[in-house]
Amino acid sequence: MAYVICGPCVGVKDTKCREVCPVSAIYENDEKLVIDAELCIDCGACVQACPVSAIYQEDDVPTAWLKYKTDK
Amino acid sequence: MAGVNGNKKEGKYLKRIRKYPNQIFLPPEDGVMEGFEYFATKEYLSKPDAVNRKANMLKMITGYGGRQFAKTAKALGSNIGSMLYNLGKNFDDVEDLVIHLEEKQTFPRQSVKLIKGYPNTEIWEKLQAYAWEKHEIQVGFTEVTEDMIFEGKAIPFKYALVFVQEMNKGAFEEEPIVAAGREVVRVYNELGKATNDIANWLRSEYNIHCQANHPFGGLTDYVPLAEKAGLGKMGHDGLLIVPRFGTRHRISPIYIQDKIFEVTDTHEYDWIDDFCMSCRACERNCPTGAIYPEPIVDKENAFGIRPRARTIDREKCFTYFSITLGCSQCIRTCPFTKQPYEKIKSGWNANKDKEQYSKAKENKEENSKSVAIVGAGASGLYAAEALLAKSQTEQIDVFEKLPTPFGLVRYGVAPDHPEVKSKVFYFHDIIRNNRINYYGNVAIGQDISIDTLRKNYDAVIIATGASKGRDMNIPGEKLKGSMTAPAFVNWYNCQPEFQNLELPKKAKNISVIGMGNVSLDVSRMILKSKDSLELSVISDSALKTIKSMKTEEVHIYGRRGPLDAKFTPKELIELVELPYIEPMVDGYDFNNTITDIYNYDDMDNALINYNVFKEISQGVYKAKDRKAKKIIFHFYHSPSEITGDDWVESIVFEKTSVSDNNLLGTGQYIKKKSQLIIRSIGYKSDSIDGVPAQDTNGIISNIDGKVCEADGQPIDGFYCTGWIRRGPRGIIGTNKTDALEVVDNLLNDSYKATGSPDVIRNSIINKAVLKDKMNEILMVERLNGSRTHKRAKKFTDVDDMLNVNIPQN
Repeated sequence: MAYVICGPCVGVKDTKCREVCPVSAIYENDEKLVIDAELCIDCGACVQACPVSAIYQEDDVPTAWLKYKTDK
Repeated sequence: MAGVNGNKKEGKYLKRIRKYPNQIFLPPEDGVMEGFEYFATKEYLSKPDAVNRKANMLKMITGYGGRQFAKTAKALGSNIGSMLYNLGKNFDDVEDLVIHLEEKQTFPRQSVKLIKGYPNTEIWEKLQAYAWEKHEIQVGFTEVTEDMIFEGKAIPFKYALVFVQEMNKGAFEEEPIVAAGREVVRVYNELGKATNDIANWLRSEYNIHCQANHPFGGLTDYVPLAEKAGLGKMGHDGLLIVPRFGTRHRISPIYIQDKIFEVTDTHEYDWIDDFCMSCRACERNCPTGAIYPEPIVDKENAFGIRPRARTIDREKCFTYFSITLGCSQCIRTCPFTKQPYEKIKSGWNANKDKEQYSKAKENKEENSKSVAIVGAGASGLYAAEALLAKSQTEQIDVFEKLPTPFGLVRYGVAPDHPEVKSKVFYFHDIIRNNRINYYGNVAIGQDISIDTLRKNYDAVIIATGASKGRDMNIPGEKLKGSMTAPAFVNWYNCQPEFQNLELPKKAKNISVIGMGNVSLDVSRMILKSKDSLELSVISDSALKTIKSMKTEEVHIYGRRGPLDAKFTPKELIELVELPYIEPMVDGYDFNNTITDIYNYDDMDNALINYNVFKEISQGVYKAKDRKAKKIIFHFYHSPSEITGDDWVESIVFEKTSVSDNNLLGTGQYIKKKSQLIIRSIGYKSDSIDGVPAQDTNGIISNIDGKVCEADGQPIDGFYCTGWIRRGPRGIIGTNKTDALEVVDNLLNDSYKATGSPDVIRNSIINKAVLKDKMNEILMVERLNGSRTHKRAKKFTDVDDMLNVNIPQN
């Protein structure tokens, strides 16, 4: 299980999540920030740091943003 | 469980060996009391929320249903006999040693062969193999330090073999959560048996003098003992993190007379200390809020001797653990439980490099301005964070009207949105920074004038936000039962200033005016079933009042069509997907093609919302439950009058239409019965004495965050940020962008105050709630939460906050 960065991050790319991630699992693509599911250790430290509340646990991703689960 | 450790055999044994204090090892004078023993004391059991209270016992039985309770009771029942037997056996098996002690005033000496044979590599290897092959136990060896010995106990020997045995991963991954509790009991017993078995193996094979101790609790504090023996590192939740098993394991020791093996002490796992502080997953996920970021004041109320153990409130933890038949949430959520050790370690190492890199690049301005921030909500604290990051000033003073910080994050965000609510953790961390001073319970404009503030600080930032609701300005608006959404939200979120809100006893039909996210929050709070709200932080009286209103229908009204609804689609979908809610739409024919599309701010979201409404009209979200409560979205309804005598009875709407993006009345009126009318048409800011110009909604006249005179001239050293700067729009994070811009401007500003912040600080010293006191208030809220098993029970009264005392027992 990993965390997923969803819609609210698009065009925002605040990098606080990257700063607080203990294992450097977050990188940036053209659109937004992305969590590398391979590296994510599932701690959730990024969730509270995200100013736009874009981060959800894989299983809790709201219906509207399911497409971000396969983001690269 | 109480009574187990009042184990008679342990008591007798201690009584006998303590007669020879020079031959044994005793705890220090300020030794810590063993956990389970404490929970059997009158002191604990007489507390109002102790585990033996009737309500708690009932929750224990019914919490997960009778079947689960029976299963756990059975697991406990089938293990407890064996656990007690093996506990007693720890002491029965050393009878010959104790008799020797009593007869000769000394324990028998270990054979010279063993002592000279140090480090007895062959025995050590055989022991490792025996423990692993027979019991799947990992072994360490160390010297016990005095502070690990519990109050009133004693150990015969000062060295110890320390064992860890894994608990099955599956039990911590699957539902129901209670399965974990059964696994805990199983491993307690298994390891208890194994420890005695290994002790007797050591005796019979090598004639090693030793005493086994049961994992369920004994003479020493096992976590620091195992940590010292190099088996792992104590984590933020006070449990030992073992590379192989994470926090899923139990620990037991065998005390050994002499240093016959090489100690396995290591610093290899020290990095986990820093890692834990950067992760803190257990702290956020503890359902009862028993894990704190820093040691809690009350040392006696903590598990064990290490400073880290003092971050855990053992009463809260134990009570909840018992009631939930073995909670284990911290074990479940610990990355070390879920992920391979090597993965976390390599990720952490990669991260450390990154951190050093970013520190080298950091270019803080040499700036020691004194800054006063008025308001400790999201906008004020983001401004504080920006100052911390961009300057070196150590003079950041944050003023807050209430004793407690966090503003709308604490009092506005819906309690059932944890991903947003969790920002409280984040903002609390900002305030914790040593460079920030906190002054709660100080109202700027009343206690201290803006002018005085400006004279004594190089910069003043107004960040008081917007917490009042706007009015519709229609007749009847001031009747009882008509209120603003912010007032309602503040009320159920325990904001002290809104606690005298008057609600109707019954409200079958509730009208919510306006189509924004706050309307959805309000509706959801009213309609959500009681269970899902109970564990979140909502005031008890609000919960009771909402339940007793027996609402059947919530009507949400918008003046325009479905494309104009300002809902975030995620929030709309969340509400209509609730299984016990029947959503409906009214006032718009979704069979027609869309004709009136204008330039919406957010066209994507508008279209998603439109489609959700369309699906509602097609019955996609139809509730299965026939008794489902209804939520009805009415379009093209403009409120024109509220009627009633004392309390509201009905509300009159004029039907509207839209032409060329202009809202037109149709002259057609409709009257709807309603016992509670909540207007959710936006927030407005309070006017502040000393601020030259604010518009009708309270927004401060400003240029790029710089406050302006009435004639439009910007004022040096005077700033505003957040909702009071730009109006009540955007989400929490929008305030961050705002704050960064304001702080940039502020740092380039050359204004210098004539006075000094100390003038202000000294003048409010008696009134202000400082950081320590504020932390104490939040801590007591968490302690109080244990009674109802909430993370926290918020105060609803300012005086109660000011009078808090951490129980010093």
